Amino acid sequence: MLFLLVAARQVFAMNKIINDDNDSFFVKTSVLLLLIFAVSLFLTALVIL
Amino acid sequence: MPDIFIAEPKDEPQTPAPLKQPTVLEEKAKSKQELFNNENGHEPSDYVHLFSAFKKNPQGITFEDQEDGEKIILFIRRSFVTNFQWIFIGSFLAALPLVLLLFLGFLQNPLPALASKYYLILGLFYYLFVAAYWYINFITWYFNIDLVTNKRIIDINFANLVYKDVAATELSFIHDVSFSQVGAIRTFFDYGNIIIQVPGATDAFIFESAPQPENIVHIVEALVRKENEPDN
Repeated sequence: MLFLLVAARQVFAMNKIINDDNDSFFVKTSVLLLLIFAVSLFLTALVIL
Repeated sequence: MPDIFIAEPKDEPQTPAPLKQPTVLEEKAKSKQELFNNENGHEPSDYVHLFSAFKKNPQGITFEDQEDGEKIILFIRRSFVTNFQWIFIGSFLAALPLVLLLFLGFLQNPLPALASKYYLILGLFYYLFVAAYWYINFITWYFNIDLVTNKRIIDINFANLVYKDVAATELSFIHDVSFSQVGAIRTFFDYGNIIIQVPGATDAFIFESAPQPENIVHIVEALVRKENEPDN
């Protein structure tokens, strides 16, 4: 999860350096979805365990 | 009674067919086309898409510190062929649990020490790892960009998620441009390294695994020549 947080931070930082009007939305949304999935999975695992 | 299948067609006056009304899909396609052909008259092919590795005069791309009147001439990423390795490894990792389930009878007694309710969570964590692996490799390729503008060249390096490096130099400082294309795969898929020498710089600018290297070298050389003309 920490790994994905770093990835999200870097994606947003890189999008400031080079911005693609068409695809930046897709790249940002993907990392956010992955992060949401990771957090929810982690919380679910905590509840089950 | 005439047989309708062999009867002669009647000579009826031909009425003009009613004009076909455009369907909703056709109208949507038209409006999308108009959207792409914006006020600047750019074609959809001018826009960089998600998997573009090389684009001349790209539209829709801006970068930090872009000066007024600075126009991007070339947009270069590593050739998409270089991604095949991680795509293959990721696909293998994604298929591995299914192969284990199907062929090795993993389903009967996968992990004896683990209660069955944890299998789903474990599987989801595994596929989260695979998705992260794919994504990290993709953005490493996606953000490794080289730009040639009408004023300078910019080399953006992004690696291992924590390393990024942006280097730029003006066209007038460029001393020499060359490319190397070694190996059968690079020759077949037409990609190679472009080396741009700048006097005084410790390292040369290297556009790694750039597609159409010969074409890029010609374009950069022409830009440098134009920049160094006495009029400029």
